[in-house]
Amino acid sequence: MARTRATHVNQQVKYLRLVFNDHFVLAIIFLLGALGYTYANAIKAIDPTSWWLKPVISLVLLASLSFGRLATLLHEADSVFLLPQESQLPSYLKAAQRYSMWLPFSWLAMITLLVAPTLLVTKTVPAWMLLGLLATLWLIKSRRFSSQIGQWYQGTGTQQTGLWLLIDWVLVASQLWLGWSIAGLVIAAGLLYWQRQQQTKIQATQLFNWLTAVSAEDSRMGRIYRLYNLFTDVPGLNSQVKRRRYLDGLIQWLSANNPNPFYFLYLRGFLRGTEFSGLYLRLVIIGGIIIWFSQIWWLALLLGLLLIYLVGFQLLPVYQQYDQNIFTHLYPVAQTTKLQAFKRLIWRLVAIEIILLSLLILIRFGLNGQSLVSIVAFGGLGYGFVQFYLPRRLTK
Amino acid sequence: MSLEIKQLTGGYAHVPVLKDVSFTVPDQQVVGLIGLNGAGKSTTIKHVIGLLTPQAGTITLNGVTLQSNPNQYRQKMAYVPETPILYPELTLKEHLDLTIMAYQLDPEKTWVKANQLLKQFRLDNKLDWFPVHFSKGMRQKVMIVNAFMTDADLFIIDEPFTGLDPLAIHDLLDIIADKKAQGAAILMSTHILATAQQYADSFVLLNQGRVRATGTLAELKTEFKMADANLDDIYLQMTKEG
Repeated sequence: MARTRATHVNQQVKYLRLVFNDHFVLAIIFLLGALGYTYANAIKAIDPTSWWLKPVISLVLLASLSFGRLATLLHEADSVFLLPQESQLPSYLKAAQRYSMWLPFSWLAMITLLVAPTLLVTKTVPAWMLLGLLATLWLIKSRRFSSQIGQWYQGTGTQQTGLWLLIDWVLVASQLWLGWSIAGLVIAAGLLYWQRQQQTKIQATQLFNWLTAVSAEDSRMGRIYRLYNLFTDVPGLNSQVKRRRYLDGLIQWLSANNPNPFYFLYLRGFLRGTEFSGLYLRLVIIGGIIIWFSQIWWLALLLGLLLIYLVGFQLLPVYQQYDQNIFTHLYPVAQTTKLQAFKRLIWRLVAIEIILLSLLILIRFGLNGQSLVSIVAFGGLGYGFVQFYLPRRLTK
Repeated sequence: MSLEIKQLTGGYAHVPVLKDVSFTVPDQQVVGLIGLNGAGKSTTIKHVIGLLTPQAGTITLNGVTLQSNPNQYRQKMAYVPETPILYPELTLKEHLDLTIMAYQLDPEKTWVKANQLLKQFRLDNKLDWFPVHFSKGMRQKVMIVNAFMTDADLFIIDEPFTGLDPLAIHDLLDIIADKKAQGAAILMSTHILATAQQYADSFVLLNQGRVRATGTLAELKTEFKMADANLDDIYLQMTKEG
């Protein structure tokens, strides 16, 4: 277990370093700043006597409970090689349970901190109840992990997901109303104890269902790697390609009468591949939301500039995407056509982003000198990035 | 005239794999490039298509070298790789469109040829599919159609028969014969010696990066002093020489 976990942690650290590169960290800092600022303003605007406030908070907390899965680190090969050692599995899984708790526990603590100001503003909840809330969240999460392990044994019936969700919700909600708190906490602890007993009983009498457990772990890792893959190349994880017939018209329209074979290739590769088109869409949508919620015009301008640069920068690897295919080296076309095609594609994508952000600025801040300055700056940066930065960066 | 390789020394990095390799592939001829794994067949082909730069020696196609006029050189050459190489995001039709665009071929005329080839290989109903998901043999057929619909002067075919069904092998040999009759030169590397003996006009025997012998089967028999040998026997004899 220790060795498996060490390799796993090393691997994750390696990828996380790549994910949190300079640009991304910079973007996140700005994003958190903007969100924090908006949140602080929003709290001031909230009417503390609103009846819906606590129900909404309880639902947010319930949703946040689903983050973080049980990491068993089981591999497909384990179902062959560890089969004779199944009797030692309970202690392995116990260690996995402990290890898996770190992430959701920290996450839940963060969420609790995040909702604390809103909760305290109602003045119906004393600060100490936040501790009870966090403890309840942790107890519920632990119970879910324990129940999850039970599910991975043969002969266990399907769980009544709906019923348990309701119970969890009631427990979370009990922490938001003074007077129910202690009872909720006790029940949550009792349920965890009962679930642990169940787990021990199942593990003593039933056989482990390797197939389900391994495929659960596979899909968990798959999700994580797909996330990493947005930022860097994960070996062995091919980004999917989708036919997307509905885009054929758009492709025709965008590539009509353009004789550049690389543009033909880049355009289709971008629109049908999920990797870069997904990244582009996400960044543009997040960017739009950030711009919409930035309340100061120069903050919106700065964030917009950052986003335009970020989108362009994150799309740079598209240029080398086909270098592995030797036919791209055999085509009887001039070396410059590839760069021209790439510039053409990136310029179109960045231009669409600029138009969207500019429209948002106009709607949010109205047509005035400041908005015009922002729009001109967006256009200038986008054009400069594609015309001057791109060629220099790519031919280096 | 066609392909002429003179005293080619080359390979990856600084260690030469090929030493002083010279041979020609004349028009209207199929030349078989024969040798063991690691003898230098693939390296020779990589030099011819221009993925590697010669350390010494010259390669000319119709009198033009890759260095003097890269576009004209590449325009006149079509290549079928050993393992099919395809774009995951392009349909079969788009692969052919891309080739037409990149080689600046006449779309109408080329599509007539392409459709004929597609029909022959029973791919004509799969134009809108992604060929990366095809079986090995079908992907190989896509590469063949892609190369043979062009009007190249030189066709380079790397190990063309593996993965093809017998019918497709037969079709490919017919297509090669057609191109040859139209005046093209064909360089074909293969391990299937029986087929090579039957369909190639002459042979280049590579051994440890050097040309051991070149010529027709009759000339090889004289060279190896094996009067009633077939290509198989000569090949084994060559490997024994070490």
